[in-house]
Amino acid sequence: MLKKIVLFLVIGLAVGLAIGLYLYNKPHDTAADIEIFEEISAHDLYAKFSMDQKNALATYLNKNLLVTGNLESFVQDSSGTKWTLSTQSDDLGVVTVTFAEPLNQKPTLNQSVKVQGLCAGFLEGDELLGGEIQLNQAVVAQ
Amino acid sequence: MKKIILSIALLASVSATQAQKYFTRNGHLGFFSKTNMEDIKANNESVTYIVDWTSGEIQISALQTNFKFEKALMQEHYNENYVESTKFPKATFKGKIENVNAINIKKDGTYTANVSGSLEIHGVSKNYTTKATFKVSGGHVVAETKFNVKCADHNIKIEANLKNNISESIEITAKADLTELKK
Repeated sequence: MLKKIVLFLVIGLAVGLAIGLYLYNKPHDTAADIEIFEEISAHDLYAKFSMDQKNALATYLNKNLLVTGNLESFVQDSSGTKWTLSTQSDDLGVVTVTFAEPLNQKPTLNQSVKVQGLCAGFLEGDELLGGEIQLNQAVVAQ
Repeated sequence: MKKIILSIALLASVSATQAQKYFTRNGHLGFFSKTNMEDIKANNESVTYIVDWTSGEIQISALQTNFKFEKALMQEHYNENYVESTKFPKATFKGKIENVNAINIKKDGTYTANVSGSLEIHGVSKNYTTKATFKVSGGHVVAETKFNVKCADHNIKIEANLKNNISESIEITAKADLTELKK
């Protein structure tokens, strides 16, 4: 009987340790791992945040969005890959997309692109700089 | 004729004033906690910095969920338990370069200046003053500073069982490569 109790305890401890280790070392989720919440254009997404930021945050924060927009600029360096999508808004607001993994191929500017990314929120600009919606852990949508 | 010259001069001065704003959307903010038990660091490379060289006003904004930790679990705890990023998604700093006139953005060189202002984290604002360097080179200005923030000052509570793992005083580093903002 004692042997059985000790065996259960050892197995329980081992399972607990394994779960703990898995959780501690679990990888960061990317947009590819999560179900798409909504497909939307960069223009429409920006319009929603500009009109009612509070409501848009409640709807989209941390959600996986499939966004289409024109590629305005990109950064590809040691810190990773980041694309800036035009929203065609009057205040020159943008959607910036930070990729989960650096991309090898350089994209073509001013072309329509489709990306999946987790919505991190909205940063207001000022009278010269438009606002910015940030998507992260992104992947290029197929 | 005088009125025309005056109008042109006024227009020129207005456009010169507007040209004094520099910015980046790819600025860096990082924090570092050091204890005997462990070191914890996180970086955010998508921070917006706007500096107005005419008034000296400086504005920094960062989204909390964009701070990247080595471990996904740490990142989850940071957002859910400490800064409550669903409730308070942004960290912002609004302040002023005190001796902005000492910085000549038209002349390459390294300048130091005191920056003071209000930092809002976790919905709580506190005033800070720090020394920053501004390196002017070829039309770019690289701004850099480092200062410490106490978790308790921003109502960020650390559980008793984690007091040995998370430092009460967190080192903040800020760095931005600023270029002229043109509309």
